[in-house]
Amino acid sequence: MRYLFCLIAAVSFAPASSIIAGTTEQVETAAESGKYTYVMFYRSNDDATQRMARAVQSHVAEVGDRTTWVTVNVHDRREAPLVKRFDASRIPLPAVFGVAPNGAVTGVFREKVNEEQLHMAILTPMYSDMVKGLQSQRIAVVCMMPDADAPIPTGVKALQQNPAFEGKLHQVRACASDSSEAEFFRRMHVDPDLDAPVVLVFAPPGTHVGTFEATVSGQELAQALHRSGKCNCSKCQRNRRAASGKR
Amino acid sequence: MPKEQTCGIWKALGTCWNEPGTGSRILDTKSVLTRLVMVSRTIEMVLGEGVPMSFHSLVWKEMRRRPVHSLTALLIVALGVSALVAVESVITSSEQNVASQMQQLGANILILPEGVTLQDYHAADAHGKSLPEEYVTRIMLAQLVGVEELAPKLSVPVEVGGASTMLTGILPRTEFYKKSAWQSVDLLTADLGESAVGRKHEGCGGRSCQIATADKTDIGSYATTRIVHELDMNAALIGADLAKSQHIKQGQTIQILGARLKVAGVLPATGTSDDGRVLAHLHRVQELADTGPIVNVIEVMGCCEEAAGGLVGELDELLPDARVVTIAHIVQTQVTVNRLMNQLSYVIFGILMLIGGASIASVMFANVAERKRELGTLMALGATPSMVSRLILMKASAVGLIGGICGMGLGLAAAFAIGPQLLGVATSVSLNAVIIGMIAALTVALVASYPPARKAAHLDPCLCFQDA
Repeated sequence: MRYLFCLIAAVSFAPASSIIAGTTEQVETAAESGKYTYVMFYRSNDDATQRMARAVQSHVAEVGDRTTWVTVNVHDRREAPLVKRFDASRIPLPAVFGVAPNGAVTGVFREKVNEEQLHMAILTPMYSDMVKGLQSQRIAVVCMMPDADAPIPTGVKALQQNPAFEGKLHQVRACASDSSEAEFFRRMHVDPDLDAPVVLVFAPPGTHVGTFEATVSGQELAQALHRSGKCNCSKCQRNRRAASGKR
Repeated sequence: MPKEQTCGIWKALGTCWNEPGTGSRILDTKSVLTRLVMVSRTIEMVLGEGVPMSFHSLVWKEMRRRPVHSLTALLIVALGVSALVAVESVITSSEQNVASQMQQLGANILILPEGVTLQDYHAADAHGKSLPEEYVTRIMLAQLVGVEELAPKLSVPVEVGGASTMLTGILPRTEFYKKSAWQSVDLLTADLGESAVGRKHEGCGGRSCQIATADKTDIGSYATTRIVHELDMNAALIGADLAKSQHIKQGQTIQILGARLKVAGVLPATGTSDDGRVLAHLHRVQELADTGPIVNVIEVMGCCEEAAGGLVGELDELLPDARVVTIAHIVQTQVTVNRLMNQLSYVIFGILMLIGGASIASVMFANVAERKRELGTLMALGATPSMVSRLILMKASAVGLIGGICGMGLGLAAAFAIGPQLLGVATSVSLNAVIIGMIAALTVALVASYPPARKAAHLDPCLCFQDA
C-alpha cells in the first residue's frame, strides 16, 4: 500500500519536472505570462516531500490562473541551472520557493508548508517590485498615492538627490485607485482612502524604517534612515560603532 | 681580653675548673699544650688564615667546605620554586590569552559536529569531522533572535610552495545577504507587527545592514571580524606568517590543489592559527577538495552575550545532531583546567617544600654535629648562643634565598620554553608566584633550621672538646 502511494505521489508531480522538458524554461514562461511559480526542490521522494508536494499542488489548484509549480530533484544534472540559482544543494530539503514574475523570491519554506504561507507569497506587482529592490540591496522608498496623477512628495525627490543615497534607493509608486494593489495597501497598513500620498521606507532585507506623511522633507527621511543605521553611510557607521562600544 | 672570654677559653681547654664555692683550680701543662694546638687549628679551620672574622665569611666558608649538603637542600628548594613559577607563569599567560579571546570574540557561538572536543577556539575547524552546509541556511531561515553573522568554515590540508598548511573555506557576507533576502516578505510582515519572524534582540541593533561600503569590503577586516564581505571564487587570502615564510604578495597567483588562485590580500597578523592559513571561498574549497557541501564548524556571532546565551537552546533544538558551544563554555573549560593546574602546582610546591624543609633540617642537624668542635671553639672565643644560632640560621637563609633565586630562574626558563609549545600562548612572568616562591623558600629554610640552630646554641664548649 505504502509503495503504491509513493508511486502515485511520484507520478503526480513527475510531469512538472521530468516529462515537460526544461524546468528553467517553465519558470521563465510562467514569469512572461505574469504567473507566480512555486519551485519545489527535493532530494528523495520521502514523506516530507510528498506532504509538501500535496500542499503546493492543492494551493495551485485553487489559484491556477495566477500560479504554477515545478519540482526539481537537486541530484538531476539537467536541473543544475535552477539548483545553482537557488543554491538548493545547500539548503534543508524539501523546500519550496515562491518566485514572482519579476524574479523576486517572495517566500522560502523548508521542510513543511501550509496554504496560508503559500498564499502570502503571492504579491501585487508593486509589492513584488519593492521586494525585488530590497533583494538588490537597495532602500525601498514606497509612495502610496491616492491616484495616478498625484505628484511624488517633494521629500522623496529631495532624498533621491541627496548624494549620500546616490545609487542606494529604489522608488516604488502604488495607486490606491488601482484595485490590483489593494492587497499591497492592506499589508502595508495604509488606508486606501487617501487624501494625500503616504511614504514608506524600507531597508534591506526587510526592515521598516518608517511611515511618513506627504509633507515629509528630504532631510527628515535622511535622518530617519541614519537613525535606523541601515543606510551604512559614515554617520551610521559611527553610530553603530558607538552603540557596540556601549554594549 | 674580657674576663668572661678568657674563662671561656680555659673552660674549653678543660684546664680551668671553677668549683663553685671552693675556688679550687686544676692545672695540667701537657694537656693544656695539646688542647691549645687543637684550638688554634680549629680557629684556623673556622676562620681561615688571615681572614678577618665576620658572620658572612663564616657562612660562606662553611658552605664551600661542605658543598654536597648545601647543594642537596638548595636543589630541592629550587625545584619547588621552579615548579611553582613555571606553572603559575603559564597559567597567568593562559588566563590573559583567554581574557583577550573573550574580548575579541564576544558573543560568539560555535556549532561543531557531535563528539568533537574543543581545545583551541581558533583551530575549531581542525578536527576532520563535518556538518552539512545546509545547517547554515537552516539557521538563517529560522531567523533566530540575536543572530548577527554566520561564519561556516571548511579546512583541508594543502601544500603551498612546498610548505604544508591549511586551506580554509569561508563564506562571504554576500552569500548570506542573498539568502536572507529570500525572506524579505516575512521580515516586512514581522516589522509591520504581524508576525514574530526576524524579531530583534532587546537592546541590539537588529538585522545587520546589507548596504556595502568601503569598511565592509575591506578584505583585511577579516583579521578582526572573521567575516569578509565579498570574495571571488578564484581569490585567496593569505595569513601573515605564511605570506612571510613563502614570500607571497598581494596580486600574486598561487597554485593550490591544481587550481590557480589570485592573492586578494595578505591578512594582518593575529597571533592565532589563522596566520598560517590560506583562505578562499567555501564553495571553491569544497569543489577543489571534492568534499561536497560540508563544513567543519559554523561560527555564529550573537548581537550580545545575553542573546548568545539564549541562542544555545534554540540552536540545540534546530540542529539536534550538532554540538553547540558558546565562547563562555570554552572559557569555562579553560578556566577549570587552569584552576586544576594552579592547585596542582601548589600541591607540588608544598610537597617539594616539605621535602626541602626536612632535607635542610637534616643537613643542619648533621652540620651542627659535625661542627661541634668549631662551634665550641667559637663559643669559647666568646660567641654567645644567639650568635651561634644566627650563624646556623644565616646559612639556612642563604640556602633558601639562593635556592629560591635558582628556582625562579629555572621556572621562568621552563615557562618561556614550554608555554608557547605546549599551550600555544606567549608566556609572561607571574609576579605572584615569584614572590610567594621566594618567601616560602626562605621561610621553610628558616623554620627547618630553627631546631638545629637551637641545638647549636645550647652546646657546651667543654663537652664539645671532650667529644672531639
